[in-house]
Amino acid sequence: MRSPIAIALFIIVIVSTLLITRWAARRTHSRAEFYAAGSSITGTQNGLAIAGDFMSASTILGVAGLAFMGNSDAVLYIVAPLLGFTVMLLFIAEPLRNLGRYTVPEVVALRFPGRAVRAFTAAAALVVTIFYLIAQMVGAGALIEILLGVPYSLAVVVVATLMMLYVAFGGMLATTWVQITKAVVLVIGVLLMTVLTFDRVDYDIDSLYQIARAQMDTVFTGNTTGALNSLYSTLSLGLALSLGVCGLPHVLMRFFTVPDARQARRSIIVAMVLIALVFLIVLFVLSYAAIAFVYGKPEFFDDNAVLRGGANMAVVHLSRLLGGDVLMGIVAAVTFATILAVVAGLTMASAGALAHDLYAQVFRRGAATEQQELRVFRVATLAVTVVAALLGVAFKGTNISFLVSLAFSVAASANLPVLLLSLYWRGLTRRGALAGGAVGLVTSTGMLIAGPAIWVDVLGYERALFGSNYPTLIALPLALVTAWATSMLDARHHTADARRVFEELSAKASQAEA
Amino acid sequence: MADESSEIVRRARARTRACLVLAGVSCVVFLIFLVLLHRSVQTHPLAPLRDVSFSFLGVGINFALALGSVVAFGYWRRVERMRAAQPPVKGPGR
Repeated sequence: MRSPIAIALFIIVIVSTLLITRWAARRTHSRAEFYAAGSSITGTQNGLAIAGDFMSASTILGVAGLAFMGNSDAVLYIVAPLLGFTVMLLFIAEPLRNLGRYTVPEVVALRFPGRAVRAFTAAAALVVTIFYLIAQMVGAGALIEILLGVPYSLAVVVVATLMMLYVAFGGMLATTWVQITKAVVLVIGVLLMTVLTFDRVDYDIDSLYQIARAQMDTVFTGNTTGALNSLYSTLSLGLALSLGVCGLPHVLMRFFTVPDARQARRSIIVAMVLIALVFLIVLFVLSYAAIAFVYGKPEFFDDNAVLRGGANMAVVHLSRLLGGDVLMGIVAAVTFATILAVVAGLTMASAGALAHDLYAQVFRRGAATEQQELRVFRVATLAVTVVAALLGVAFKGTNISFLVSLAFSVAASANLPVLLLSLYWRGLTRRGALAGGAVGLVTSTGMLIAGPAIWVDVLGYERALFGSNYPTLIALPLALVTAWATSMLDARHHTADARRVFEELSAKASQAEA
Repeated sequence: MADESSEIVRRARARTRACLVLAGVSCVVFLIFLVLLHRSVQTHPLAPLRDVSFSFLGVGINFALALGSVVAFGYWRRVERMRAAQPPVKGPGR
């Protein structure tokens, strides 16, 4: 599938993003500039960056791939995240902006000063970002291997090196502009493909659906094995995909880059509109176009009638069908930019948790100088890059959607309860926060390991200990109940001081609009 | 200063209650859609993909609710800002 146009566009993406990094590096010197771009990003820019940060290659290509394989879960993957962004807007964005400066654990630590809660929330943030990073690395390696014909390991190393350069030298400013660039080219790419799809069916969308339905009747004969087959899995995956968004550290961290709460709100509104637009097009136009036009074209299938590069490549094959090598090159470059933007955001969040929370606050108890912390930030970026590259190679061939759902499940079960209860429940105690978060983390990861995807497919056992790959419906309520019960039993910590801290934080969280 | 702070907290609590209602409605509609999706798959594995109008309506309603919540929240915040900007009403002098 290697085409000169695709290679040229890949090089343009790499050069452009490196130029952005060089420009950002000249403007990034202090801690505030590294972690939060000096809070100089406008709401609209940040909205574009959030959209760029959130819409990963696995989301776009994966959803179309699911639909292409006749898996109705595609609808669930599209509809759930917007609810999460609504919850984020209503309950999280403003308090986070008003209370925090650089990282999410910092906000929880305001309620519970000391090292324990901060260390736990930083560790949970790290777990989520590393899982997500592995998914992106596996996706990046596979995609670039197919699109450019380079070996998988080399592709992973190239992506890892680029993400390290963006973050270590350009900090949040470079990350933000890489994400903005990605969001813009993604929207342009998706709109271009939509116009070409409509042109192919003479601007009659019904005929597209009729062709797609006819193909479905011919191609899909057996049952698909998606989450929608079981009510438990449907609800659990829906909960993870929606509420998990609110616990993703790399998305939450973006609210520290804007100057005030009003711009934080604007960020989400812009992000939601863009994400809704792209998701609707991907599901209701591109997925059906892929089913309608790619099936029945032998050049896209191998000798075993399997789509070349797997189902995730359905949209890429569609682009070649609609616009030849030029459009395929554009789509491949957009995909590459998408991967780079997401991994940059994830690396930023991981390195921030390591340097700012674990090193500067937990180990050095706030005694580290700004220079020391920034040095550790760069070392942490390198460490995260090496770990991500190694894990990316080790997990080659692992189901990307599963890895993403793993990150979302842990985010929804461990990060979100602690953050929400810290912000809104007066009765939460330090022990309650720790117990709730720990139960959410252990239950979600434990149930994932005991589920069919790891216990049977990876570890090779005959039967899974837990029948579903989606733990959130159990892990999230369990985390909330544990936090509540532990806090209620922890009566000696319901002091006047604790109440005063909560009241002060509540006032500060809403202050910007006063 | 303390009065101002408690007024901010009071307003924030009222807002949180309104937000809970907005989020609650969105969540209930989302859960209903999930159940309907599950039931449609029981009738035919491809039902949500084959019946485009069902999926489009479901996704559309959920998206509209999400964006509607955003608009309602923005309006609430604007009203709060306008009220905060108004000079306090003076009572009759004693």
